[in-house]
Amino acid sequence: MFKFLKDSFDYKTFLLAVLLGTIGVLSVNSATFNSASHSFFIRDIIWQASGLIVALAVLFSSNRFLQNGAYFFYVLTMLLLVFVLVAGKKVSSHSSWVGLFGGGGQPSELAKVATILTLSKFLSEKGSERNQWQVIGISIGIVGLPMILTMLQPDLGTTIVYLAIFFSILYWWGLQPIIIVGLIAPLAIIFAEFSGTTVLVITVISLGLLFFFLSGRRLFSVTLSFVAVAFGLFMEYFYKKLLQPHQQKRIQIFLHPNLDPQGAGYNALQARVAIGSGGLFGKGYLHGAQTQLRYVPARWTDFIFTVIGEEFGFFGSAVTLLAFGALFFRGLRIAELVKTRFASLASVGITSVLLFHAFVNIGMNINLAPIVGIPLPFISYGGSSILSDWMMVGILLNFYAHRKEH
Amino acid sequence: MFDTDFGSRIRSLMIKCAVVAALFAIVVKLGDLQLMNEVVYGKKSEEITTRILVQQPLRGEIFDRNGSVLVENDPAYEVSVIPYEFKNTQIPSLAALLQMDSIDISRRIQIGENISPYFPVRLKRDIPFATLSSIEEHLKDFVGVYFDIEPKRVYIGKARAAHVLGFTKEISEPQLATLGDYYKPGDIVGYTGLEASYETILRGQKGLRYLAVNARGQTMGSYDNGKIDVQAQDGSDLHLSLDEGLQVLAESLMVGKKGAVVALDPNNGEVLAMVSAPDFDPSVFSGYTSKQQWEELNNGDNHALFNRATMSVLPPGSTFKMVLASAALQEGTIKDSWTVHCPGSFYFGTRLFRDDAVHGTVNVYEAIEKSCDVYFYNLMLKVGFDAWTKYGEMFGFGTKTGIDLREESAGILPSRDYYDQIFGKNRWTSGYLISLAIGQGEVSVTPLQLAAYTMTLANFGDYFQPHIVRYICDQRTGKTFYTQYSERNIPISKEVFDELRQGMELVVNGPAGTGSVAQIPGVIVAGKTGTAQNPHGKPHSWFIAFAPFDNPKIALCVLVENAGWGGSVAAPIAKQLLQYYLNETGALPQPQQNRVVAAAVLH
Repeated sequence: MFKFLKDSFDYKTFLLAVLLGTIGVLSVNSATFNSASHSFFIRDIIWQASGLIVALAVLFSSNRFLQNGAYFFYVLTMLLLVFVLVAGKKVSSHSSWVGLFGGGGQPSELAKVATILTLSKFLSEKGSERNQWQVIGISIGIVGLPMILTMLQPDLGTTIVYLAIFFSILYWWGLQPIIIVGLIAPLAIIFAEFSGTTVLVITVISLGLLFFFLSGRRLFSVTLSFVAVAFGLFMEYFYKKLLQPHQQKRIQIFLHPNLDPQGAGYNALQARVAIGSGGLFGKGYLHGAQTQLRYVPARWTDFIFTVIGEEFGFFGSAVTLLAFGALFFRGLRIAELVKTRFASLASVGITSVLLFHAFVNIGMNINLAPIVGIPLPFISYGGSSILSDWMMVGILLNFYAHRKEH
Repeated sequence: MFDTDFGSRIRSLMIKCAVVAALFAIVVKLGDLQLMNEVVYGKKSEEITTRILVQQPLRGEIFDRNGSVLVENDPAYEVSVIPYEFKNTQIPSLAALLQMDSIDISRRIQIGENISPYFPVRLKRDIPFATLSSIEEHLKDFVGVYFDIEPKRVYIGKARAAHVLGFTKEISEPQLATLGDYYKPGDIVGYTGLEASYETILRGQKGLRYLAVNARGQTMGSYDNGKIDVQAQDGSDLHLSLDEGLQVLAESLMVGKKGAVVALDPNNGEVLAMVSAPDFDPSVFSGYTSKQQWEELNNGDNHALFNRATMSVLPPGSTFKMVLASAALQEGTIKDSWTVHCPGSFYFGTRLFRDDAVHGTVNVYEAIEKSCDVYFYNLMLKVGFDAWTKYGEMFGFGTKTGIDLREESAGILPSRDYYDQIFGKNRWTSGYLISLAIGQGEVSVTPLQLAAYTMTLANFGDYFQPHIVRYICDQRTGKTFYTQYSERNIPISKEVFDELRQGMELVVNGPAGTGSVAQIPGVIVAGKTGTAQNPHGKPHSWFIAFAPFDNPKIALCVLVENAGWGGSVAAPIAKQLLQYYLNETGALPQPQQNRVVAAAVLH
């Protein structure tokens, strides 16, 4: 046992996750303190404990279990995603909750993990046998399926998470940077279009320069830029058809937060006020006026960072960010330590998902990202989110334990 | 195929850079929010962590000179909405419950929201007691809708004094824009009369209670233990110089007439009574005023809201003759022995000016007594325009008296400049002055100005700024504040005043006096009638008077529009008022006969 702890147990990753989970429990307690929602505090503890058990279970599963079970896991979660689309019950205008264990669960959280494992498995096993375009095509298929299914729910935040999975894993696998940029270009242009002409022009020019820098061919760069612009314009045409009104509004409000200080922008404003009023050391635990007076909506889920920001100030926020940063670097370290490509790719995928979640969630609390409604790993209340976070930690722990095996 | 690049150093570095960049961006933004702008957000946080409960102060009460209450407050029930808690989908059912117009509701909420979405917006006030319980019951089904009690004006005095007291009304949108930050939509504000002129004193200061609120909008008690609460301060009371009994009598005498009564205390300029007829019921405005009611009062034929006592400008007729007489006597143009023969008419060039009667040879006393126009036509030509204007100014004509009401007109006191202005230089002749001599033509005055003029005739030239409020009583400290009013002395000698007053005494008590109706047994009344020609119908009937002659306690002016002769319409009203007030103040001797009878019974 001692030998296991010394050689095989990645206590750093584990303790960082425990630290973040603890911050989460404290924050949920504060966010729901003295209110009818305080039962979420108890439930959060239960979910964190369950997550811990899941992580340990994954840690102690066999070295081949994850890689072998990836496809099965993938198919299972895809079926669940289809199931929620057909029979899901509505929670705050999303249909991603299924009646699971009587409490409801979000299969899209699990689908992310399944997609990471599946893409990693595919690339590590079959990636070398096929040509580049086949690999890209199949990868798009693997990631695209859950993406479309979550987009249909509709859940904008989780949909974009798949892009992080896709690009990070393929990049780590060795895809040429120019192809990555080429694939990102249309998305960047779509985004730039909503931000005004200046941003669009700058984006197009910098993409063109990037193409030129990466390929060294002038004609190719210009052509690629035009293709990207054309695709972006084409997508804008479908903007209204593809995105739900509330999603369109969220994007609009992200870009112009002053448009609607009482509607969706109200949330963002309240969150910013709460965090900003925290100052250097915060107002003290359970003393955040904004959170305690419940002016911040969804404060135990999407806007939980306001509790940290208001009650623990810049200092507490920085500690939380450091814990996240350390965890991300730990994930990347594992990606380098492990001997199998599957584990390495999956580690990068897991790190990027956690990073993306943390960045977008905190970002939307501080007006750095649109309010797309994705949870802060380990900290936001939410059963399936906490479980999948811990499951990913478990996977990292498992990889670390088996890092020397081929 | 791309094995060479799998997890390469450069890629590892790039990913690490991305991680660091993402975290760095967050730290920078957090620093901006929490370190650079903490103060800004801290303030904002204070502003919106609470529900603001506005505590309406009690509006100051208003008392008459004897301490009897004219206006006080009653609780009224109101429904208000906090815009940011309220969902617009509730409007139709709320409109049905409150029996209001949906558009009206959404407009009110919109206006309030623009000012502050956290401040309650009043939707309906003064909800009748009968429907109270059913509304209160149903309000629980609505989100962001609250039920409150606010004070409402009640007029419990026997006197209406509608134009003096004025009325309160919900603040209008233009007023909101001009009156500043204190007011919020739905606030009550003094619109006219003393309610308007003493608005800041009467209204007090609103209190603010900050309540902690939970996610469901339920209050969780006071915020920060009430440390930042602002206590409401009730408004101060006004103690008026108005005599309720006199006011009641004056109002009853003016019922069915158009006109005004202003009675002043010649010893200090206090307004004892002020009536403008027709009047209105101020309580109509204290609760919910329907558009129809408002239109009717504001734009109706009666112009009931118009304060004739201070705003109506009419030619003063013969009441103005003492101005000319004082100029002539004080300037030494004539002596009181100077006479004029009155054949009943007067030719100026080829123009004929009629008099009411053939008065024969009259001196200044008889001219005033009989109101002989021919005498004053002649006198005017002797005295000249400038002196007439100068003495008119000295008596306060052509300028506002400065009474503590906003509704006041200055009237018109013609002068050379004025005529040059309206007719053109050298486009008018001395003939234009003839009418002015008898208070006709362009000269126009308010009843209040005439009353103040009477006051100065009564007290030998002391012009006290007329005023209604005697003192203000602070509700909290119980301290009283006497308001300072201006006073000036008219530079006319006592001898001249004696002569003018003798003429006025004869008006009432002389053998040929035009105001003999106003005689009161046991007291010497002095007065002057005025009959102002009115091109649109019957003349306006004026009467000014003061009494007792030697020690005046009251000076008044009565105007009845389109009524006929001053001596026959206005003078009887003045007589009753004088009689009442003198009796009340003990200046009227008790009839001797009663005492004799009583003595006889005792024997």
